[in-house]
Amino acid sequence: MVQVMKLLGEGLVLSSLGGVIALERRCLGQMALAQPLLLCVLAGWFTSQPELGLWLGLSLQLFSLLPRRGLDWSSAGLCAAMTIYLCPSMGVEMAVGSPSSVVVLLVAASSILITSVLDRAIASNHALHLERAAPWSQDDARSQVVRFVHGALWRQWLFGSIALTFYTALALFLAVLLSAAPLAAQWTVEVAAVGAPLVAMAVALGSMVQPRRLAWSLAGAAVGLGALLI
Amino acid sequence: MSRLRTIDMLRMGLRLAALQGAYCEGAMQAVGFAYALSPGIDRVVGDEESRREVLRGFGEPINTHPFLAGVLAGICLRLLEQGRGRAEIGAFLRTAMGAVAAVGDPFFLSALPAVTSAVAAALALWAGPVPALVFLILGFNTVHLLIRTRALSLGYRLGLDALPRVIRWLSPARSRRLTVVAAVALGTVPAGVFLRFSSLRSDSDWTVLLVIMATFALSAVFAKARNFYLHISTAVLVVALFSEVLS
Repeated sequence: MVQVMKLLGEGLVLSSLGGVIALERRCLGQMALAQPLLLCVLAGWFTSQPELGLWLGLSLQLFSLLPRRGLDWSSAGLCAAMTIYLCPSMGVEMAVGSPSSVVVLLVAASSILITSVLDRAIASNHALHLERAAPWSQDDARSQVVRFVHGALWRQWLFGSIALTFYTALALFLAVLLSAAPLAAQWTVEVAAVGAPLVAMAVALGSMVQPRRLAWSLAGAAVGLGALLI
Repeated sequence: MSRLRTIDMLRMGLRLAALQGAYCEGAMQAVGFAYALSPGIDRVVGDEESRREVLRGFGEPINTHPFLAGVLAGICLRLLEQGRGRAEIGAFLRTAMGAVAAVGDPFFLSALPAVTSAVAAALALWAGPVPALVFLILGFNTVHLLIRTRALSLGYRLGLDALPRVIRWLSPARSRRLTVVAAVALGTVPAGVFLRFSSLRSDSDWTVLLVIMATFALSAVFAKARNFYLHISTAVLVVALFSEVLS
């Protein structure tokens, strides 16, 4: 009972903090700190799982290179980081490429779709508030504008925290569930460990590539391969 | 009327950070922009009634790149100081916001995050997480904070002359050069992934080469059909998951 209460308290504090970081991505510093690689590596260090933090962070950071508006990869990074942090307290040990880590990556990467829907809903909600407050037609337009902006930031934080709690709870639940499942074969873990970052790299390169740039990238690959073989 | 002080610039700079947080359908960034400008308006515009009137003038929809909104804010205040009317400032904003977004989006949405993330990913694999995190934080933030703060003060100092200068900073040629650096750094990632997360390299060099070539082939597929990534990457992860737990 005490452990459950402790876990709930930890989750609440983390989700509030997560709301602040989600707000940072949206408006305060705008990607100054809310980078998946940064968040996951830090979570990995805190829980003595640096390789897992690096693997999840690297994959999500590469996925985040898709130059699309409205895709918020910081919430995906936060979800993964919070799951890395909370898993040991639930007795789950995630290894790089294990079913639990793959499902966390899958949930975190899919969370961007829900976040983009949520962002649109928040923008509509702000429009409703703006229509109701009508700051431009008020005598005290300035204080109305200030009130509207503060309210908007507060809503961003609240919705960010709630969404983050939902993603993390889902990722944790599935990670715990899969940690109990027996492995089919060890080589599948090896394939997933290499496969996930490589697919993310292919997505990143594909989103920015033009034939000439692919040649530059192949030159980079040759250098990397040379270094690996030496 | 009095000129803006550094503290007013600082307040405006901080408030501009909330621009995207108050984004809403219809007015888009208008409320956030008015919120950011209000400390400057208090200094530049004389009486309370005129201030109210000026603030109402910013009720029209505005949508630009948030990192470059500072240059527009600075120019607007300079125009107000010069006694330009609401219509003239409105016309300037309508014309300039698109031009600023057109250079800001490719630079801040594609080029800068791509180069910082790709180089950080390569560093994380080849040199360890510490240099990667240092580069990730400093690389992105030095550039974006420098441009944000400089754009605001330049806009106020030079007025309309600031716009071409800021646009020159973020020229498409510069964005293209940054994506080339990102592409080279991304190229080193597959070998780094084997170095860091796999023991395969000691078993078979040919397997490694084959997997790297397959990754580049997949990149070429994504380059042709950019929406495929959603289905293919999700499918790969789901297949990996099933193959791990289902015998």
